[in-house]
Formats: sequence, structure tokens, C-alpha cells
Amino acid sequence: MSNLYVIACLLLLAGCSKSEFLSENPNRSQIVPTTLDDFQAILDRDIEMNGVGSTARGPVPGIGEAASDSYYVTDADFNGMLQPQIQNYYLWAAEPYVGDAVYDWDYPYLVIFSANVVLKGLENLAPTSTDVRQYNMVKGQAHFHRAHAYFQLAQIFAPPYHKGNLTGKWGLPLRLEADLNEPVKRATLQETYNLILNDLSAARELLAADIQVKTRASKQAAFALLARTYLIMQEYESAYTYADSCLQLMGNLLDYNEINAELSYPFVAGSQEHREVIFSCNMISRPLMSYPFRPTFARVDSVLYASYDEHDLRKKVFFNQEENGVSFKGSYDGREYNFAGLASDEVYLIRAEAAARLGNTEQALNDLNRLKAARWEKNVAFQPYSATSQEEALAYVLAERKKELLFRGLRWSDLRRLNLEGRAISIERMIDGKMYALLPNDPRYTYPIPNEVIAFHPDMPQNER
Amino acid sequence: MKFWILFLSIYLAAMHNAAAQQEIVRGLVLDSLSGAALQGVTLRAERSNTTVLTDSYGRFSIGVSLPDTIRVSLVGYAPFKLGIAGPHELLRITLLAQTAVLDEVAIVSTGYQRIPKERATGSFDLIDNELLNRSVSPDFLTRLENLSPGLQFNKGDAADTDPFLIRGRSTITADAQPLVVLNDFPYDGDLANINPNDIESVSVLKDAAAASIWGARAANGVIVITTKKGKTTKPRIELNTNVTLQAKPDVYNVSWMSSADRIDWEQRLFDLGYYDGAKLGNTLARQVTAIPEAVELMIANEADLAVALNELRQQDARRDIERYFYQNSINQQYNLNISGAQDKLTYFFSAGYDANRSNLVGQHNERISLRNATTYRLTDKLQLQATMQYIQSEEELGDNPGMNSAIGYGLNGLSPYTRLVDEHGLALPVHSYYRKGFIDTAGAGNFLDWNFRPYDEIQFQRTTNNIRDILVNGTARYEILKGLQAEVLYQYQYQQDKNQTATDEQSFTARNRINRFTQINPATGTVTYPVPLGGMLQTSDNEIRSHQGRAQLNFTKSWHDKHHVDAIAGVEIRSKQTDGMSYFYYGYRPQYNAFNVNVDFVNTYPLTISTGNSRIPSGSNGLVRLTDNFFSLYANGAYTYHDKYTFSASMRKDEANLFGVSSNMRGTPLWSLGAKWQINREAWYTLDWLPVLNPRVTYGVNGNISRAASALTTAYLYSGGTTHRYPTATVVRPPNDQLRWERVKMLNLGLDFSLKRNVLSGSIEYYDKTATDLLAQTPTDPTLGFSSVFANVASMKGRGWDIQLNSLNLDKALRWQSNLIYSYSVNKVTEYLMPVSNVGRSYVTALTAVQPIIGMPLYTAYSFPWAGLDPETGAPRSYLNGEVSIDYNAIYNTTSLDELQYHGPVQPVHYGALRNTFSFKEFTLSFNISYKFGYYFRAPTVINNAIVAGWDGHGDYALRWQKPGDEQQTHVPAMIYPANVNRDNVYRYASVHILKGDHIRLEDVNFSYTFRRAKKMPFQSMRLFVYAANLPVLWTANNRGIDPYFNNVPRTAGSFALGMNLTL
Repeated sequence: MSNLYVIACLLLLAGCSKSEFLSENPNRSQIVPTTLDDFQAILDRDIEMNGVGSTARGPVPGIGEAASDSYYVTDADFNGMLQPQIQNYYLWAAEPYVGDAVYDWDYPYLVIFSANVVLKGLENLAPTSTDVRQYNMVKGQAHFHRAHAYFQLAQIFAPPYHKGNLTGKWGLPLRLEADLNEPVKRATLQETYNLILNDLSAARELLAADIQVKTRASKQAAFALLARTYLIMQEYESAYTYADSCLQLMGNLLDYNEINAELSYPFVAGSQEHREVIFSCNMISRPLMSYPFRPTFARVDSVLYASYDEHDLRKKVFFNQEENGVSFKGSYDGREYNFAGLASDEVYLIRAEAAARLGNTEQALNDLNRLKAARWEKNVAFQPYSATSQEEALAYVLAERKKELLFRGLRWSDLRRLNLEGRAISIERMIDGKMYALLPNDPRYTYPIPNEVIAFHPDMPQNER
Repeated sequence: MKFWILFLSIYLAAMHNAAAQQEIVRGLVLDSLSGAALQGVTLRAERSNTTVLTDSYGRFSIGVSLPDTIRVSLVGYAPFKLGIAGPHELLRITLLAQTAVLDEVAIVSTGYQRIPKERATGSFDLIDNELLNRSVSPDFLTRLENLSPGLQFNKGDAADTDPFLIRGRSTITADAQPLVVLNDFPYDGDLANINPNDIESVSVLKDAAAASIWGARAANGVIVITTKKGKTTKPRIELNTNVTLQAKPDVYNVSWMSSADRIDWEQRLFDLGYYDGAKLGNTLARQVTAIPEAVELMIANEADLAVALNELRQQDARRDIERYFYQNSINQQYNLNISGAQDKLTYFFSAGYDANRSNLVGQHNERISLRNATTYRLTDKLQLQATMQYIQSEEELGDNPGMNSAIGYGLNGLSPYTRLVDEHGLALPVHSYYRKGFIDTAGAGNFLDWNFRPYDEIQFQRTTNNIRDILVNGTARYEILKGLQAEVLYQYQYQQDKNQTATDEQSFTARNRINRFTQINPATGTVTYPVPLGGMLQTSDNEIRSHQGRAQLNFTKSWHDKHHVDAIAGVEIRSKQTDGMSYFYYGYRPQYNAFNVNVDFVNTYPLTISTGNSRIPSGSNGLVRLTDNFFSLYANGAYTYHDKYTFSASMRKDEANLFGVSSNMRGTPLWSLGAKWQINREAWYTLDWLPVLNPRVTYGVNGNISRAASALTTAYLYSGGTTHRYPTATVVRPPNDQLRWERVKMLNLGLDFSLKRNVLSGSIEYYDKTATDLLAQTPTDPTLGFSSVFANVASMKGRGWDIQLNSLNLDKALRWQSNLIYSYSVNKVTEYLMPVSNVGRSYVTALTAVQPIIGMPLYTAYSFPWAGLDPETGAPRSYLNGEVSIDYNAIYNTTSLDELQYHGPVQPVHYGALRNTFSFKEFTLSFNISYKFGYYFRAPTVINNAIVAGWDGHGDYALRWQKPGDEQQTHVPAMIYPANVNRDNVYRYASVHILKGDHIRLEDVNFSYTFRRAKKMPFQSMRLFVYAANLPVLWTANNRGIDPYFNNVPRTAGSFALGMNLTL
């Protein structure tokens, strides 16, 4: 009867149909991501996906660097400034987490979740001829970010990848869905690396080389990460191939003669601006205030510092003399945040190492010398690397890796893989007069899965320490 | 307004169908309150059709045809009907003045319907005008305190959980506050806007049957405000005015480390080298970072050091704070209203003005409220009603932290020996941001004055909040058939809330910001100011627009004197839009109303106070728009048989634009059923001493809404990233397509009763609530990408008793009434599907945070078990694996939840009040004593680590362990340096600090004198009253003398009000 009329009248007050009325967005600042632009915006969330900014999250854990051998902290800073969990990282404690949240686990998985949201969302979109390029870029970036996060997690929470010795080795819990109800199970180490490689292969196909900002993944970034992954996997031919593909697209090096080494941070603020950067990313910095490798605390290992030639510009560009030692100021981010992305210097060193290991000594030395040239005082005669044996060339590359890539979150996986092949690198630390040591291939090279994760999945295999 | 028949049972035998019999009935009619005889009362016998008036002694004599009904009426009194079944002796009839209608005749309002309480199956409480006017406050909410059982106002620390609740909390994350309805529709503005003088009565809807008509918003109970309307034919003018005075609060209720203790402690830190860096002053940070004044003296180490320190020892900053930062408060309230009812028109107009000067210097507010309600009867069938309300309130606040030394006095608190104001009343600088040596020399005269003078900040940084609230309501009612009425209502409300913080260029806040960024070119000496000279202005404006519309059919019919039906059905829509915008400006100069837009927020500048670079802070800038849309269908019906049995049923279906909930999930049908039996009306009922006995029962389901969760992936949009300018988005809510609204099922059993002559009356109610599908943020496996999510994972159970007893202890010249209310309310979490942390320390840090633990109340007091102080060292001790231990890291980090000591809930379990009212002639004295039992709070104490870094501390310092044996007298550990954070944590969260909150307090006293109907006076009535509130607590369970309402905060002084209610 008249009821219908009344309803109609009342609805006219709101000026819309009932279904529109009831689907109006309750908060303008929030969206349900459905379009390519929405998905790109999620991937562009640099504070989460790239770990940049002062309160950044991001996919690169700090606990590997915390436990590495490039630096030490003073007793006073250790006791006064570091939280128990961080102290434990520094001293390789078997049970390091003391019940606190393990951000180094949580934030990379947030990147994985975001990538999964995008990949799931894209399934509902059919690319048209006009937006197929954008569709492919978004999809490629999502695959890249997911692979990148899994790669980073695998360096910390999964055992070192030892080619030919993978049986019985656990990898990571692999999440491929955005749905929270997807069961969480730990995959094998092989499955974990397979996923990383599959994602990167997809990314390599989908991504283009020209990008607007370096927080976005590109074809060269996919190549670079493939090269890095294969290097870790001791697959040197593939590592060489992808490093080479990357450098074909992006082989710039920055001549340090252009840099004013006097500045408190010599590189331009923001890794976007750095000529060598392929993919911008920093180490997780939320617990930055307390991470021991923060420039405020970290004093560079004196042997390492001494290994730089006095005409090597890095000695001035990278380091600062403090009251109580040498601090690091050479982050490609140009600030106190640790750059941990992909840059061409690393890719040159990957190509060089792969070449050396494959017996192509000349190629290895070429790459080393090219890098060295960009780091050497221009007015001083430059003595190129030369080697008589494959092992000598490899030794140069490895030494150069240590000097070039310090505080970039790479040393920890180098320690893991180099010890696997018997290079016997031990680390010692002294705190309050007590000596601590991490011996080669110690089980503590693999961090435990966070206790809270195990609490949710009591059957999940834990790493032995 | 039509009043229903008064309660009064029939004294005579039950009706019988004897043949008509003529009889003369004689009697007296008296005023029920004063007992005075009433002259000119009309009595009409229906069957004999005779009408008589009472004489000057209130006497009458009337002829009736038995059985007959006598109708008794007098203007200004509630009409009354009396059945006469047989011959009897002198009748004594009392009439109630309409201004003093008691609960028993109550008409309660649900916002949709007005129901005589007599026929209500549900749990309603009515707070009438007299009770509302008994207390004095600018807002209406405060006036409801201690008047209705089940209505709980939490104070002190417990107020941080829920400031006010009906029948306990039955949600974890959603809003727990009752829905407030103004006449017909939910009120969307600030509750403080509503002028209590415009309120006629307040209905409190407590159970499912009462509240379920509000559907998805009913689970927390509903408070319905009914405003005054014109009702008397003669224009009626009311003037209400009062003034409330309150002295300064007791600042010494905040425990402070004494100046002497503080200086000795600083001396100790100094001797141990804590200030060596500052002493050296060899880095910029050490030159800049402020240190306490006494330490500066120690570093300077001049000859008169001992004298200077002794002088500081005598100083107590609380004296300055009390004298210069606090003031006596004065609240004034004026309200005038004019109302009347003519044949076709009733009108009500009211104007109110409130002016309040708060206890904190620099704070005051004003409110103007205007209200107009007009009803016009266009034809016999059509009635139109229009209401307009305008409220304007303005509040101004200076930057006055009062006793809150944690904020406002610098980064580290306020040294107890600080002098804030000199002997001439002028502000003194406090060097709590930067060292004096630094600001005196830095910039070689190129900086603005860099001194921080807290007392000056009160006038130099001012925040104003201006609220404008406009409400327009139009209603049309049309009587389609007899008993069937259609009505259409529409209400528009607009509230604008303008907030502004103006920081004057003379303020430290502005000068400091400018100085920090000032750039001096070392070569040329040129000075530039990246932060423009002048002040700062932060604005934030919020607008709420709500449209609410309703179309409703009302059906009322009685037939065969047996059946009575009241039913309504309708459709309602509601749309509320909130827009917020905030902007920040530099270079603000109020005298020109100008600001400077030329500010570089992009580049970083080297700071003058550190070696770092920083961007210029850009304040808060942003836009917000929130939209709430609802579409609802509802129906409610009650059927009464023979005035004995009432059955009620209600149903409501709500749909809302709750984000992403798919349409099939949107509808939540909510319903209730109820029954009431008026036993005393049964023919066989013979208990003379108990003339009213009505049991009732209801059951139903109400809903609650939380916008915390989403069924779809929801992302929050940002305009740019940290390192680029492309839009970015972050997923704020992971998807959960299982999302449902919260539901609360409630069973209510009630019994209303009254003894003969109302000697004792009241109600007893028992309720049982089951809340299911509660949304909770629960820790999740962080591998999912989130360490917590919202989902419908929890359930709670609550139950309790609400008891109300009203007794008439004396009814002579001296009349003594008592009203006792008692509530018992417990709740516990019964289901919490996702695992929660078993780490004990997460439950001890904040007692007022939601910590769902199965089998426990939502807010619980847990602590580390206390093992006393170590007799050798004075170290605090707790237990580790059952052994006394001082392994603080292990205790703090590994003590599990079940090893903690459980004390009890943080919200009271038993609460209520006893109100006694004595009337003698025109005098009335009433006082209300409230009580709360069964809850716990934590007393703060001294924290070792905090007194190292901070400049102040808790007075427990004086009780610290100093030598063996002290542990017999004190629980305060030895203070050590360096401090150990977890030693502090184990101590501060130990059981020894958890105290019982139980207490009894005298809430208020009201003493009034009423001139009633005095012939020589030019007014109908005048009531003069004095009212005292915030009176001292009478008894507390804890033995430390802590009033749980004022746990280490300044204690509010008693307030005294003088007031007048005048009716012309």
C-alpha cells in the first residue's frame, strides 16, 4: 500500500537508490583495491615495500647484518643502548628473541602479503590492449617483491643453500594467497628457492627496463636478483648470465672522484638519486634506534678498515673517524639508513665472481678493474688487478665484495655460503671482557623461526641452534 | 501531555455484578506530598453521572450507583480514577502534583513510542524532572549518576575503561557507550551540548525488550531524552538559575619526591658521574641537552653552592602551581522557558546560558542554547510539529598543564624545586628544554629569546573549540482511522566543531621552532629564518550532517474491555556524514589575521641544536570524510488481556553501508519477546499488604556495530610515498568474508511490587547476557603479514541484578523517603578462538587495556607476586618458577599468565546508592550516598629508572629501603644507580601496588525551600536550593588513604551551588 510510496519518499531524501545508499564508501580515505592504479599504489608503498623512511618496515631483515663481522660495538653502547633481543643478535645467542616481536620476520611477510593481495586482485582483472603494459608491470613488480622478500627471509631463517645437499632441509612457510585461512606450512628449502626463481622468471618476462622510480622493480632488477640468487645457490653459470643481462641494461658506475667525501653523508640523500642503484631498498629500520650496526654504535672492524688503500676513495667516502673508532657513512641512501637494495657495483662483483669460478679469469679481472677505476683517486696511478690463477682472481673478488658491499645486508649470506666451501671464517666478539665466537657452519647461522609462529603451529619444524 | 492513571490499587473488594445500588460516598482529597487539603477538586461519578467539588477543607460527598467509577481531577495534578464496588467508610484520596510525578505513573519513551510503564514488559527506568533537577551540572549525563540501577558511571582509573555503561560491557572492541536518543532520533552531536534544563525526563532502556527497537545499535542499552513541551493552558514561565563555586583542587594529592630528596638524589647521580658529559660540555649535544637546575649549580660549584642548594630544598613547585596555575571555578547557569497549550497549539520556547570558569587558569567555556517546539493541530486528524534547536558553545583553553608534570614542563618533567613565578607574579624561565648556557650564547644574539616560561605559555598558546549545533525536526501525524495513526518524521542535524590552536609569536613553542631552524651564514653572517617569524596556527574543523527520516504507523485499540493492542511498524533511514579538515600555518599574526604560506617543507635544514638536518614540521593537514548509512524496518506490538497479561514482541532489521559486508550479511534481524503478569489484578488475589505484584520476563537479541573490521581487503590511501610522489596505499585490513555484526542475547526477569500505602515499593531484576560474534583484534601468526586481525572470534557472558527499593519511612509532617539502588554486574570472556599471549607481562602493564582472557572479566588487575624486599640489599623480589628471585629479566620476560597474581576486575562489581529525602513543610533535605565494591586499581610508586632520566619522581622515594631492617616497614626498594629497567618493571607491576577500590562516599546534598502556591506571591512556585557535591569519601577499603576517584591526581575540591527554580 502506501508504505512503498513512503519508502520511496524517504529514499529521495538521501537522493540515491537503496543499493547505492548502502554501498557508499564509509571512509573516503579508504579504498577496496580493485584497479591497476590501486594495486600500483600498494606496491608503491615504499615505507613497507622498500623499507625507506625513518619508521620504515621493509623486506630486508637487520639480524643478519647485526651478527656479521664488519663491525663491533663498545661495551658502553652494548650495555647502555641495546635492547636484550638486539644484544642477543649481536652475540649469536641460541634463543635470541626474549619474547619480543621479531620484526625481521613480520615485515618481510607483510611485503609478501601485499604482493599476494595484488596478484590475487589481478586475477579478477582482464588486461585490455590499452593497459596491458601497466598490467604486466604491476604483476611483474608483485612477483619481484614476493621473490625479494622470500629471498631475504631465506638468508636468515632457512639454512644455507648447499647445492647437492638439500635433502631434509627445511625452507620457509610459503604463502601464496592473500586469504588468511590458507594454512601455514613450512616448505622445503628446494621449494623455497624454486618459488623465488619462478617469481623472478615471471617478473623478468613481465617487467620493462624503463621505470619512473627505483622503488619499483624493473627488468634489470629482476636480472640482478636472479644473479644474486643463483650465486647463493652456487649456480654460477646462471648467475653469470643474469648478471650479464642486468649489466647490459644498467651498467652505470659512479666515479667517486665526483663525490665530496667531507660531507657527513657523502651520497645524495635517497638511494633513488644514486647512479648505481637498480632497486631502492633499505634495511628494516623500525628498531633502528637499537640495531647495533647503526652508524651511531657500529665501529668498523679495524682490519677491514686497514684493508683499503689510501688512494682508494672509499676510505674517505665510506668512513668517518670518531672519538672511539671508525664509523660508516657510505650508505647509498645518503643517510644513516642502511641501503640494502640492488646496485650495479654488486652485479659487477657477481659477474666477476661467477666468471672467476667458471674459469673466466680475464672477465673477472675486467669487472674488478672497472669497479676499481671508479673508486680510485684520479690523479694517482692505478694498478689494475692481475691474477695468475683462478683461485687468486676469486680471492680478489671476495676481498673486493667485503670492501665494496659492507653494511648492505649481504655479508651474512656471504659468510654462510663461503664457509660452506671451507673458507673457515670465524667471528669473535668481546663484551665486558668475555669472548664470544661464531664458528664456521655453526647451526646459529640459521636463526630460529620466531617462537610466536611456532606457538601457532606446534608441528612446524624449528631450526636447531 | 496526557498523563495516565496514577497507580493506586483499589481498597475495596473485587468488582462484582451486583445490581445498581445508590450510595453516598464521603471523603477527603489531599496533596500527596504536602498532605494539604485541596479545594476545588472535581469528582465525577460515571454511572450516577454526578459531579461535585471539594470544599476548602478538601471534603466531598458524592452520590454513586454501585459499582461506579469516580474520576478525580484538578488542574496541575494528575487525574485519577477510582472504582467503587461497595459501601465503605470515609475515602481518603491523594493527588499528585504534576511537577512531582513519581516513577510509578511513568510514561517511558523508546524514541518510537511512549509506553505507560505499567504495561511495559521490558526493563525501563524513568528519571523525572524533579530528580534531574536535584543535582546541578552543565550537562545532563552527570545528573543521571546514582539514580538508576544498572547505569554505571566509572570514575578514577576505571573511567579509562568505560566512562559510562548500562549493565556492564558486552563488547570487546566496539563502542560500549549506550545510544543516546533525543526525543525521536539518535543525537549525533556532542552530548555536552544538550541543556539539562530543557529535559522533561530521561528513560533508560536496559533489556532486550526495551531497547531492541533500536536494533543494531541497542546492545549497549539506550538513553532516551524527552524534552519539555507546552502542556498547561495558561502560559507558564520557568526560570532556572544556579551558580556553583568550587575551590582549587588539592594539588598535594599528587605524590611528589620532595625537593630535598630530589637534590640529594641528584647529588648522588652527580657524584657517580651521571652528569659527567654535561659537566664536560665538549659536544654540542652536551651543551644543549637540559639538566636539572641543582645539577647546573653543582657543575658551576661556586662558593655558595651549599647555600643555594639549601634554598632550593625549601622550594616546592606545587605551591606555585597551586597559586598561579589553578583558580577557584565558577559555573553559572541560567535558563528561561515559556510554554503553553491552547486548543490547537502547544508551544515551548527555551533559552539557556551557561558560563563556566574551570579550575585551570586560562580555561573557560560558555554555552548558549535555544529551543523551540511547536505543535499545531491543523484538523482533528492532522497534527504538525516543528522543533528547532540551536546550541553554541565556546571553550577556550590556555596551555596549562596544571599538575600534569609529564607534559608541558619540558621533556623530563618538572623539578620539584623549580620556581615558576617570581614574587611579583611574573613568569620565571625554566631551563627544561635547553641548558641556560647554550641559549644565552647560541647564535650570538641572532636567535629569538629562547627562554621557556611555563606560566606565560598559558596566555601565549590558546586553544579554542567552538561548536555550533543546529537541529531541525518536523513531524506530521495523521489519524487515518480511529486508533490508526500514520506519522512521518524528519530530522536534520548539523554540528560544526571548529578547533583552533593559536600559538603566539611570544610563546616558547613558536620561538623554539623558529630558533631551531634559524640559518646563519658563517661567511656573511646573514641570518635567515626557514620557519617564518610569527606564531603558528593549527586549525581543525569537523562537520557532522545527519539526515534521519521515519515513516511509521501506530495502532491502538481496545475492545470488549478485555483486549488492548498497541502496535507500531515503520521504516527508517539515516545518513550521517562527517567531514574533517585540518590545516597548519606558520607566520601567524592574529593582529593582521595573516599567515605565511612561503615555507619550504621539502628540503632539509641543518638544525641549530644538533648536528642533524631536518625538514620543517608541517603540522597536521588533512581531509576526512566518513559516511554512515542505515536503512531499517521495524515493528513492535503489545497485547494486553484484561489488564492482567501483557505480551510484547518486536523486530528490527538493519542494513548499513558497513564497509564491504556483502548485502546478504548486512541484514541482521533482531527481535525480542516479553510478557508481564499483573498478578494483583487477578480476582483471586487477596494479599492486601502487597497491592502491586507484577512479574515480567523478556528475551531478545540486540546488535552492536564496529567499524574496525572489513570483509574485503581495505587499503588506506596516501597522496605520496616517502621517496616519491606517486599515490601509495597500505592494506589496513586484511580480508575476512566471514564478518558479522555483534549480537547480544539478553534474558531479563523482573518483579515490580509495592506494599500498602507505598511504604515500600520497587523492582528487582535479574539479567543474563550472552554476547556472541564479538569482534576482536587478536594476535595472529605474523607469517600472515599481520600480527593481529579483527574477526568475530569472541564471546562474552554477563549477568547481574538491578534492584531498586523506595520506601516511605515516615509520612507525617516530617516525611522521610529512602531510595536504594543496588547493581551487581559481572562479565567474563567465554570464547576467544585465536590464541593469545601467555607472556605474563603483557597483562600487567596497563590495567585499563582490553586483555581478553577466557573466564576473566575484560578488564583485569594482574600483577607479579610480591616476595618483599631483600633484607640485605633492599632489592625488590618476586618469584621465578616458584622460588623467590631477583632475576628481573627472567621474571619480567618469562613469568606466564597463570603464574601472575590475579586480583579481580578493574570495574566495580557491586555499585549503587542510597538517597534519603526529608521533607518538612516547605523544606526538603536530600543526600545521596554511593558505594562501589569489588574492584581494583593500581597505586603508582617511584620508578628508579624514571628518577634517573626524569627530573621528578613519586613521593614513595622517601620510603625507600636504606638499611637492613627497613624491609619490615616498607615495600619501596633501594634506589640504585645505574638503574635496571626490569628491576623497576618487576617492582612497579608487583601485587603490592594493587589495591581494592571499594569505597563509600557522600555524593551530594541538596537542601531546598519551596514556596508553593502561596497566594501573595506573584508566582506559582519557587524553589530555592543549595547543593553540595564532590564531597569527601566516607570510607575506603585500601589502607593507604587513596580515594580511588583521585589516584595520584589533584583532588577535586567540594563544589557548592546556590540555585532557584521559579515558575510563574
